[in-house]
Formats: sequence, C-alpha cells, structure tokens
Amino acid sequence: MGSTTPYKQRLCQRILIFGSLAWSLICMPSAIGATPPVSEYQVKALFLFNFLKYVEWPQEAFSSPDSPLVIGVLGEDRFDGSLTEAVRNKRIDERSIVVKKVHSGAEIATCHLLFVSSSKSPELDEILRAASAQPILTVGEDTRFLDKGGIINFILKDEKIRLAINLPASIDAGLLISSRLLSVADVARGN
Amino acid sequence: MGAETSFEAGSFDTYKGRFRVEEHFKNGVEIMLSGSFYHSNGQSKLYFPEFDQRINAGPHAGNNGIARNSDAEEAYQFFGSLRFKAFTLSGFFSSRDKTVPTASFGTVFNDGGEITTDKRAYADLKFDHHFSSDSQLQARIYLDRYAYYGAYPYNWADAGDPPIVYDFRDEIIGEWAGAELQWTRRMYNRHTFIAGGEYRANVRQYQASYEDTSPPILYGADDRTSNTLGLFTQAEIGLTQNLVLNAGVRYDNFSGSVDSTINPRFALIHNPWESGTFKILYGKAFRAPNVYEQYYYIPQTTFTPLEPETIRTYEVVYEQYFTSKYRLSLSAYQYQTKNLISLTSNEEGDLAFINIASAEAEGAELEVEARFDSGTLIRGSYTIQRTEDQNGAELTSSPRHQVKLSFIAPLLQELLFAGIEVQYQSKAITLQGNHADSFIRTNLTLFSQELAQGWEASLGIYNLFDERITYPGSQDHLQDVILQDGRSFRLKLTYKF
Repeated sequence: MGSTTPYKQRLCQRILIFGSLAWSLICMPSAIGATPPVSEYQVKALFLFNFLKYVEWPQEAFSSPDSPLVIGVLGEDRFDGSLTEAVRNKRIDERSIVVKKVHSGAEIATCHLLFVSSSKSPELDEILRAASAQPILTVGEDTRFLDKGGIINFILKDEKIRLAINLPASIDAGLLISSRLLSVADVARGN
Repeated sequence: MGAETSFEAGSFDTYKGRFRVEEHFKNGVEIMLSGSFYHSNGQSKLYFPEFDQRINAGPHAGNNGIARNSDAEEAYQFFGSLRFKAFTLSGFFSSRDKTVPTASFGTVFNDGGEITTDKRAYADLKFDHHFSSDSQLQARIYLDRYAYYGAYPYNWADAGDPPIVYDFRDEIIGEWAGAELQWTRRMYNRHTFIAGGEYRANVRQYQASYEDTSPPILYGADDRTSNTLGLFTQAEIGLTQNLVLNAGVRYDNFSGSVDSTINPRFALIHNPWESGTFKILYGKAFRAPNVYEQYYYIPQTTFTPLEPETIRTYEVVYEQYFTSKYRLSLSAYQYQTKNLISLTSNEEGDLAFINIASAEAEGAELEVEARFDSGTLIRGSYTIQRTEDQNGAELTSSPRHQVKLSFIAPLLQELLFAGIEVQYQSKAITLQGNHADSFIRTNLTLFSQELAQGWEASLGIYNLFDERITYPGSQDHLQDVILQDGRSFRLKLTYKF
C-alpha cells in the first residue's frame, strides 16, 4: 500500500485480512473527521482485490505467465468506480489486473474472478452453470449463492460484511484458496 | 448356438465388456459360457473436508483435502455350465479390486494404496429330478472358495518427520464343501410338503494380519476348521378353498462353541375374493457369528463366546389386482433383532466383538403399479420406517421416508423407450449425531431393444440433476458423511447373433 492511502482505507484493508469487517461502524463518517464514509461496495471491492492474492489459479487459466487477471462484474455495477480504483496499478506476481463488465454467458469464460451482482439473482442457475468446472472464482451476494454452486458469498450480518466459502466448489473449479482467507471466513463449508 | 456380446463406456473412464455363448446339442447337452470385464478409474479427484489441513487439524490431513486417483475399480468374472438331463455342472470365478479413497481405518490420505481385493470361485453339481408331477428331488454338492486381501498404508513416522509408509495387510481365505438334499411332495393338489437338509464342512478358515515390512511383522494368524448341519421341513396346507397355512421349521447345529438354533416360521394366506390376497407372516431367523467376529481379534477368546444374532419378523400384507393392469400392495411390519454382534473394547483397550445390542424396526409400505397396452409402465412405492436401538434412540443410516417412482414409456413406438427413475430418501442420522441430508436422485435411461437387426443400445444418465447426495460414514471413517457421485453417463451397446 502506498503511503498516500487514506488511514481509514488502510484500516479497512487490515481488517479485511484479520477478521470480519464492521464496515459501517468503523468507517462511519465521524463528526470530527473529514474522511468520506466507506460504502459497502468500496469494502466489497477491497475484498475482491484481496481474493486475487489469496487464491491460486491453475496455470492453464492463463494464456501466458504475464497475462492479466480478469475481474468480471455481471449485473448492476454498484462499485461506482471503487473496484477499478482498488486494483489500479496493482499487480499479483507478474500479472496486472483488469476489471470489465460482463454481459453474456460466453464472456464468463474469459474471467478469473466473476462477481455476480444481486440484480442477477433470477439468473443465478444459468450463470453458475456456465461458470462451473472452470477455473473461475465466482463471488456473489445472494443468500442462495453457495447452494447453487457459487464459491464465495458476501453476507451482511449485524452491519458487517462476512464471508462464506464453498470449498468443494473451489476444488471442482481447480482453485486453491489459502488458509489465511479461509480463516477470516465465517463459514468454510466442507460438505 | 446363441451368442451375445456387449460393451459399455461411461463417466470416470469406466468400461465394461461382456460375452455369453450357449449351445444346445442334439443329444440334450446344453453348454453356456459367459464372462465380463470391468474397469473404472473412478473420480480423478475427491474432496474430503475432514482431510483439508486448511480447515481441519489432524495427523492425516493434507493435500488440501483432495484424494487424487484413489477411486479405481477393476473386476472380472467367468461362469460356465453344462447341463444334461437332470444334472447341471457349473463353475464360477470372480475377482474385484477396489481402491479406497476415504482413508478409512486411519490410513494415509491421498496415497492410492488402500486397496481391497475379493476373489470367489466355486464348482457345483446339481441334480433335479421329478419322479412324478407330485414328487421332486433336488440335490447339490459343491466346493467353494472365498479370499480377501486388504492393503492399508500407515505412516510410521513421528509427526513432522518425512513419512515412512508400510502396508498393513489382511489375508482371509475360506474354503468349504457341502451337500444339500431337498424333497418336495404335493398331495391332493392342495398340500405341499418339503423336507431337506444340508451339511457344510468349512475345511479352511484362515485369517492373518501383518505389517508388510521386511521381514514382516505378524500381528496374528488363525487357521481352523468347523462344520454346520441344517435340517428343515415345511408344509403348505390348504385349510379351505381360499385359506392356506404355511409352516416351517429349521434346525442348525454348529461345531465349536456356538449353540444350536431352532427357527420356526408361519404364514396364513387368505384369498377372500378374486385377485385380492391377505397374508399374515411370522418368522424367526439367525445369523451365526463368522470367524472374523469370533477369532480376528486376539483377546476375543477372553470374552464370552459369541452367539448367533436373531431376528423375529411380523408382517401383514394386502395385495390387490384390478384387471391385469393395476396392482396395489400394502404391508406393515415389525422386526425385532437381538444379540447384535458389535465391536467393543475392554478397559485395556483390546478390541473384541460381543453380543450386545438389540434393535427394533416398524414400518409400512405402499406400492402401486399400472401397465398400459402402449407399453407404458408406472410404478410407485412409499415406505415409512422407524428404527430404534435398545435405548429408544433412532438408528444411524436409517431414513424414515423413502419414495420410489419409475416410469417407462415408448418414445418412438417399439424403437425407442425412455425410463425415468426418481428416488427420494429423507435425512438419516450420522454417527456423530448430525444428519445426512434428504435427497432426490433422478436417473434417466433411453433404450432401444431393436436398434438394428441384433443390436440393442441404451444411454443412462445417473443423478440427472447433479443433486448433492451424501450417506453417513461408518465407524471406520473420519468422514461423518460421504459425498456420492454427481451426474454421470453410461452408454451400452449389445449385439446378439
């Protein structure tokens, strides 16, 4: 992280790694501070960036050692630029990070991480079927997301964003999720 | 001369080939030979969260919970028979190897070396003669052999050190020979009497276990012989035109310490009206302890000698046909088992089998079936069952509700048929007191019995909707539930000539 990163953002990132995040409580605008509030989607954007660090993709998921990691956003984009901001100038090993909007089923296969917005909930079955058994880390925000075969789900609980992880689905996808990420998840579902 | 050959290929690199030839000679001799070969790589990777070191600490956890290439199976079998007049001579041989992916019994996870092998071979000669339309004599003599080999890799290294893996091996061989005789007599076209007996000499009951080091470390070896004698008689008596009493009794005597048993059974069968039948059934049966339960564990001899497990069954059945197309059957039953043989350990931690548990099951079953001239068949059944042990607790692996539906219909007249099978099972309690979820398994089969002259074909899709199906794990497993295969395919071609 650069030294120019605002303090509250750094704080949020640290919490990302070490535990569940009380995003609204910790990052609420205070009467004294002038730092703008951190929204739910700013936090989710930081999470997505961190997932890239703590998930290992198989070699065949990339055409070359320096081809970029692609984050696809499917459905209504509520990140308001914060996702592009979170990965700007960042690299994972040799790879740059690209954020793009995804519209069709065919485009899903071009992503390494696919964020499925809750606006796409009615189409979850088809989307997750299109992504299944491929090295795509699917991330969602619908209560049924893991049941339908998604890998990581954001859960809003007591004003905090928590993670639930479906390990069998990650194995099917050929992805290796680091134990550090698992340790911050509320639920790491085995069976 | 008739012959048939078939070939199957399916998911998980599964292949099966089968052949059968038969010849009927003019002099009355009939010969039949058949054989099959089966190979499956099984799942190339299976995930067991209990062995995932990222979420579960444990001496055996590793490889992120993934067992690779540890699910293979290979089997082959041959059967041949030669028949002349009242005599049939037949021989059978089979062998099956299965790699165990679950690291049961605390073996090394993701090793691929836990393999069980079963072999069976027998030869028998049957004599079946009708002295008259009312009198029949059946006799059989046989030689039989079963062998079991198990390899269980264990890590002998201290925690943190590089692994030192040796196979623990089980070797079990049983060889037996026997003779059976049964005489059947019908009288006045209403009554039938059966009397018979069987003698079996267990000429070899061998079991050994050792560590496959060099030289091997022998844990135990036991080699013995025994014999059993069984005598039985049964009578079917037409009490009135529509009431039949069926009564039988069987006596079994065992050499060695097991007490002899006498087991009766009765049935009353009543046909009060056309195509309707009521049955009331009672029976008592037993299962004698096998040599594994009696002698595998060395301190077994210091425990009370094992007695047979017994079961008493009570059942009422009502069956009704409506024309020849519809059938309905209703039954209710109660089973009481006693002296169940279970593994236990004494204060020193020695393992042994003892007669300890009893259990009860009560249930009811409804089955309906309808056949239509078009070739369409619909069959459905529902079973409700409640099981409990001697303390009133529900048994593990014992779902309360089961529904089975099957539906076969012609798609293209006689050419192509479709069959759908749906099975529902309610949740079942696991050993750790959790439960394996309820599931619906759907299998779809498309088949043609006359694809072209002599050709049959079928395509099966199993677990069509890729439903998550788990079964409770047994005591030997770290896994509380074990995930079953998802959707899989199999294509089968048969040629008759």
